[in-house]
Amino acid sequence: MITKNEKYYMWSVVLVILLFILAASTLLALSSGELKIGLKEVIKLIIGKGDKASVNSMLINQIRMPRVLLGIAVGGALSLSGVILQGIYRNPLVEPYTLGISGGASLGVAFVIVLGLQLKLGEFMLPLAGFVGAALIVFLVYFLSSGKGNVSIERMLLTGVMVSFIASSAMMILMALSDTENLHGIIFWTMGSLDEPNISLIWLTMIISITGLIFSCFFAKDLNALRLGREKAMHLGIRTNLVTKTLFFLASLLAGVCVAVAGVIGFVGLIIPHILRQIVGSDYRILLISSFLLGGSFLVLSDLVARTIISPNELPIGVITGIIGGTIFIIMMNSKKKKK
Amino acid sequence: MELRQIRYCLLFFLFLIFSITGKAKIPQRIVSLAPVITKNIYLLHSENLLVGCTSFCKLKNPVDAQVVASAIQVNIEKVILLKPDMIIASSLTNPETIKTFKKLNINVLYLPLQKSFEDMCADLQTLGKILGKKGLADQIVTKAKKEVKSIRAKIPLQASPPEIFFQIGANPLFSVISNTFQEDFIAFAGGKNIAEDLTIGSITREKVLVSNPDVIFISTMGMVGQEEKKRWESFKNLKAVKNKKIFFIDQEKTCSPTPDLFIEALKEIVKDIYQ
Amino acid sequence: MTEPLLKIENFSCGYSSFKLEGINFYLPKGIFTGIIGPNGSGKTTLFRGIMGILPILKGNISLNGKNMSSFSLKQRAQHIAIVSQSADNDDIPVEDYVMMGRYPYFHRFQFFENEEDKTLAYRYMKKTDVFQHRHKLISELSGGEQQRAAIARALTQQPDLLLLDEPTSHLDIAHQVSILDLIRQLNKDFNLTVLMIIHDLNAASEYCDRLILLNEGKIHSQGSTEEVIIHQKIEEVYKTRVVVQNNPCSGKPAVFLVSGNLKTNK
Repeated sequence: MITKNEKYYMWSVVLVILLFILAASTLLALSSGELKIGLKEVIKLIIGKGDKASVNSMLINQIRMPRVLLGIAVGGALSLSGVILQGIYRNPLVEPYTLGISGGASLGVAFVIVLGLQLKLGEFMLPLAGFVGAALIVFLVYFLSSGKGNVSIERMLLTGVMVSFIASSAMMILMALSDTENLHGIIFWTMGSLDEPNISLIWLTMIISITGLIFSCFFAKDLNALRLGREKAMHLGIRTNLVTKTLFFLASLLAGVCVAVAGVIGFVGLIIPHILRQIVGSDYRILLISSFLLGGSFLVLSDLVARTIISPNELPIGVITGIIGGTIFIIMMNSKKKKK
Repeated sequence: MELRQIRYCLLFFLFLIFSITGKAKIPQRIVSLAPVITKNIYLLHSENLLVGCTSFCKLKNPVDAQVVASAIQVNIEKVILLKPDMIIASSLTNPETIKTFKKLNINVLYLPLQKSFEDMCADLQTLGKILGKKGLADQIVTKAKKEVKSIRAKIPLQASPPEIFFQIGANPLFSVISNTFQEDFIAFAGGKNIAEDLTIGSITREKVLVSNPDVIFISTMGMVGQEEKKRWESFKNLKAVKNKKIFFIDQEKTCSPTPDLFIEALKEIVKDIYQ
Repeated sequence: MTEPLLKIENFSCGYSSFKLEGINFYLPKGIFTGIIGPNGSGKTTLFRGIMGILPILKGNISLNGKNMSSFSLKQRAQHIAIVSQSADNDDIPVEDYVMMGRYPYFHRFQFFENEEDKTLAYRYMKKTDVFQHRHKLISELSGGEQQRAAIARALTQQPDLLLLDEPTSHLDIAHQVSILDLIRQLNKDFNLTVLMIIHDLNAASEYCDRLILLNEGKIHSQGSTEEVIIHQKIEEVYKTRVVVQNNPCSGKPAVFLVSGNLKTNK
């Protein structure tokens, strides 16, 4: 039984541990790959000393570091998006994928690949298409499910699921019509990859991700109040409609950007919040930040596994998050059963 | 007089029978299910026998044949309507489709993806025999083999074979691997494929960086190819970048070539490596 | 006469299928008022109108003389607290749950509760006798304890007016009495104005100083318990035969239902 002060103390401990895990994952990811680079050298190269012309420097600065940064940004944003959506819907099974956001993005990208637009207009068409696809879905879901100004959450959830199904079916059609080369590209994209050559895109994602985190923290108490239900939250003075709309758009923006830059990486928004709830409870003041940190670490480690496990070949990261995420989920479900 | 007339008639009839059955052996209505097969048919000047092809086959004249299939999916009904007497399938064709055609008693010739230059030549000769163009096919093959020999002879001796990375795909990064005719490009040019140990083609960029190839060939077209080149050039310490040896190769020549296209590509590759 | 706490004048709110019309009543400060009426007469709708969840279609509501249509949800929550029907079965610790009553007083950027918040929450948890459960989860409490926790949360909002929507509907007699006793005590100790929806007419009669009888979206009658609990009025509104007699202990009017099968011998 813990007193209030002890609870906040536990929160700080948890945050410190998560930061440590993040740092450890980062260092591990930087030192592993085709070539193993020792920790000391990794640190030297990060801070700018060390042989800039060496293979190691190339590997770390041009390949591994960008992937790690993107992994933190995307992992953090996806977990955050999942937590927020779960708070709005009061349902732990909700995440960007189940709401059709990832589906819409994939559809947009598949469209571009099949029309060969990225060949004519450049590779940036893919992230743009993903983002537009995700945005369209968000508007569609929102439009279809808002009644008389009041946002019906059940309708949103159902609409999102249906839209996601329609998007996958449409994608299947596109895939059936396309030739083998494009097929490969579409499939690989839908399974996710942290390989992104444009470093400014990576920084952009990082900025959006962290800004999203800070912004969402201001809504921590609103999310806490929403746990009681929408009407009861209004009794406590929370402007539920406004809060719901704002948070929904924030969650969609975060997810849309991630899908646009890194492809479809599922499960992160589902697993990470779920794990953390078992450890720190459902208070959003701790849940938001810790989801971000743990999500970042998880994705960095998953990427590490994806690019080393069948070296020198590479697996798509979505496969890894799916397997690891799914396994952890099953383990947790079973241990919960045992407790009961 | 009468006996001689009978003999002449017999000979005449024998000749007729022989020519009819001889002609019956050559298929008159062919459906090609792969671009390389279509190319070979053109090469053997037998495009008059072609009635059906895939959407990716390059036809010199759109009326030469009808499109009956995509890269992997065949419209069986369309094929049947064309009343073909031979269908030439490749490893890209769905085995179920091949079974269906066999059940319908249509002749199917299966030409799997060529694994080497030798295979390519053998396939052309097989096709030549069937199309009644054996002579032409043999001629082409002999000429091609001679040319390959002469190209290989002219390659300057190196202390160690140049290390080559032959990229045939981007997003994901794909390399040429062993047991493919594309590796023959590298082998005949006297080079060493950095991906020769891989069992499947997807390769990490790190692996390429660590292997530090002397030359990089990119076989993808358009904007994607350009962006890949830019990407490689951002790794300033790569040998291929320092020596400015990153080249594009036409996909037509490297992905589904006929023997003569193979020779063209090989000449280009050799020139690029050693100039 | 001092200004009543709540003035509802010619008020109308509701849905396309059902509307409250011409609602007029005053709530004097410190008075415990009960709202009674058959199912569907508009009791919860009235609460939704007061809480600002349903928009005002006609008329106005004023609190302490100020028109409430200008109040934000936050301001409303600082003056009016509501304990509603549905049980919360979320996994929230009781202490955090009660502390949410302080949310109407948090700034946008405030993350943690301050000392004052903590003091108030503890005081009210002790008052409603849930303090010893404060580290348990709400779902681990019994029905009666959950209601007490909800009341503690409402009190933490430091409201001028406490609304209760059928606080005893799922409880047995013992718990009913204990909750209602608690409410009456809070009403007396803190001079808290209370407006309670209750379906049990006798409990309403026992505890409330005044009653409002709603029927089909309109006020049928209002006044003291003796003025409202009269058998003609009850029969007219509830459309069933009743007998009204005085409670032998308190002298308040009590309602006895008359079975439809019984041949009355009165």
